[in-house]
Amino acid sequence: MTEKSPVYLLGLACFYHDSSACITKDGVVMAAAQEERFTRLKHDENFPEQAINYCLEEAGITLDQLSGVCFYEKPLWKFERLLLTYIQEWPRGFFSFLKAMRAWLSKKLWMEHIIRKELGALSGVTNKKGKSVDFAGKIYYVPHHLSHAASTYYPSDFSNATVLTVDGVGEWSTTSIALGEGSKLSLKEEMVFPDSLGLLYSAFTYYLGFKVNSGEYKVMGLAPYGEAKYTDEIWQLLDVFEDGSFCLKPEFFAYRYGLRMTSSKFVKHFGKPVRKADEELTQWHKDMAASLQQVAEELMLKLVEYAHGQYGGKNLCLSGGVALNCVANGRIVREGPFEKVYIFPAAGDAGGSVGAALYVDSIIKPERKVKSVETIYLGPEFSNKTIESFLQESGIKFAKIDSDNERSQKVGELLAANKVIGLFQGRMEFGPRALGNRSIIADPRQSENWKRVNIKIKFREDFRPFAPSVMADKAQEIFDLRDVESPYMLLTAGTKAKDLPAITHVNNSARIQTVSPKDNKPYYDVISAFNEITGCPVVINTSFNVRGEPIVCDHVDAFKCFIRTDMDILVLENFIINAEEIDKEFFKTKFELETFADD
Amino acid sequence: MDSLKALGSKLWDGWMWFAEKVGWVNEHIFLGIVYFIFIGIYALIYDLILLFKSKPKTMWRAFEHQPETLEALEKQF
Repeated sequence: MTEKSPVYLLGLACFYHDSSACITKDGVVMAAAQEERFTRLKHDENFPEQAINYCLEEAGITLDQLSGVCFYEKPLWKFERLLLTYIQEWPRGFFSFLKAMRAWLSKKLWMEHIIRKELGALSGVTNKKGKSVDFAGKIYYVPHHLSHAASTYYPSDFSNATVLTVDGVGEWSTTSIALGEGSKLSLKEEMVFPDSLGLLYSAFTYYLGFKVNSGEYKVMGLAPYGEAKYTDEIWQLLDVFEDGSFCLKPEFFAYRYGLRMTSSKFVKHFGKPVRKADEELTQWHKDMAASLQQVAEELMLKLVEYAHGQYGGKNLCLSGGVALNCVANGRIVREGPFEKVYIFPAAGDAGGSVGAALYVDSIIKPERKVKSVETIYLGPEFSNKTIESFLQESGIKFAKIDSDNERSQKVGELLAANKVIGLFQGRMEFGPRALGNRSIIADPRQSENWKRVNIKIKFREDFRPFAPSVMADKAQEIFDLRDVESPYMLLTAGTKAKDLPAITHVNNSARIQTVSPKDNKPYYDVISAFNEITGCPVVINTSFNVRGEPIVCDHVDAFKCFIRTDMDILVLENFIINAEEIDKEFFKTKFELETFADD
Repeated sequence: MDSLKALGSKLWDGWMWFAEKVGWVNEHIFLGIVYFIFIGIYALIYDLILLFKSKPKTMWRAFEHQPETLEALEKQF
């Protein structure tokens, strides 16, 4: 690498859940994607082969041009934590030990070897015997919470900030506070396993019958239906110190030694058994979700107040899986001591690939601090030519539109006619939220759209709320956002408008995406066209997928999703497909439709 | 560093050979012996240490191992 040659880094996050890859050039993220979008396996944890291929292609480079590969955690630190936990929990952790050790001995302990082999196979370079040659470049390992911290600090606009990361667990850390000053990011303090807000939330996710590491957002969505009646009982599960740190009482939790999250004492404490996934959700479950949510919000606020008390400053950056809790985020913005708050949209583990690469870049070139993420639309896009060929070859009837302006106008008109539309345009979003490029959109003024989209289109639980996308310049009129933008749908706020039943939750709140022309002009134009016709600057925005399916990646995924649901219209870039003009049943047999397990 | 990588590679190949040869049942017996003897001894020592440990007043602790050089970042620990 010469002084002037660009620094390309490949970031990787994998082998736990939500594997992803990203590529940076001189500290700027050029491409990032989750592997699940390509493999169609939700929360895919495997080596992100296809995401890497996409990133390299987008950057126009090959593996040998990389300055390094950056992995999002230190594997041997994690192994140390596992061993020490098994020592602490001996002998009751035996079965968990057996399961974990087989995974570690066959894969995770040999991380470097596996990464080199997998990358070698991707490069296609072979030796004389025809065997692929292992990747020989540098591999860097960035601690998990440092990856989280870097993933939110470097993309922010701030030249200095306090950074709080909160998740289940990385190597040892479960919560950390870092300080960002220019290009330097230093982790100052941490709380460690097993004391974890993320794991507390996951324990209740498990107890309420949802899947750990994926069902947490359902618990958050369920909470407004309940009353926080059981907060005292939940506070009894932990000791909270004056400085906001806390200790989970080990007798209530089984994740340290068992293959489940909660102990029998936990069940006895609350007086009801663990809910089975197919069991009815009663008011008691809703009250429990509400109580947990309130405790989680209080704990987050305590952590934020401690961070501010210790390190001061005006700016806060948040990351880690718990930072996807948009209700808690809303309270931090409204009630917390920081003037400005930035949250990286891929705050969970998938964002670790971005953080790892950006941290290594800050070590290679400590003199630069650039805004590392210009846009969150970092995934693949597909040209009109590619889509037209697909439609023609498949015999799908479509209408072609000549310009982006005409498309926005047409989509706005269709929305106003109460059509539910699958919108596929531009580059795919990075992170768990669909932000207008892989979205299902509908009219929020029609109350029946809530049930219609939940049950007939998404095939998911009817209590799940929908998020609104609102024109940023009109957002303050409709929502109680207090001059804060929420471009990544990571904040909730009260709804001022009375006529938007499909996006207003039972507690009169909404998880808001503010859309401005600088963030996503085509999407802004769609909402603007809808507003011109109806006087409503808001649309329902939900991810373009069905229950259990990853968000669609390419136009073929989008078409398959369209025909398996009750959607009215599909917009694939400049092509419009009307459900009334095609025989969905015919195409269901023509295309092999995958089945997706419930999430 | 290269010799360490080569050693790691050999150990991995060795383990895969072992796992394949001895099969699933024996692998569990091997892990069982490791667990009940080696981890068990450490567990007893750990419990003794715990007897002398005072109750903490905070769960925050200083983060002491931040890798700040490329060499430190290359290590898996």
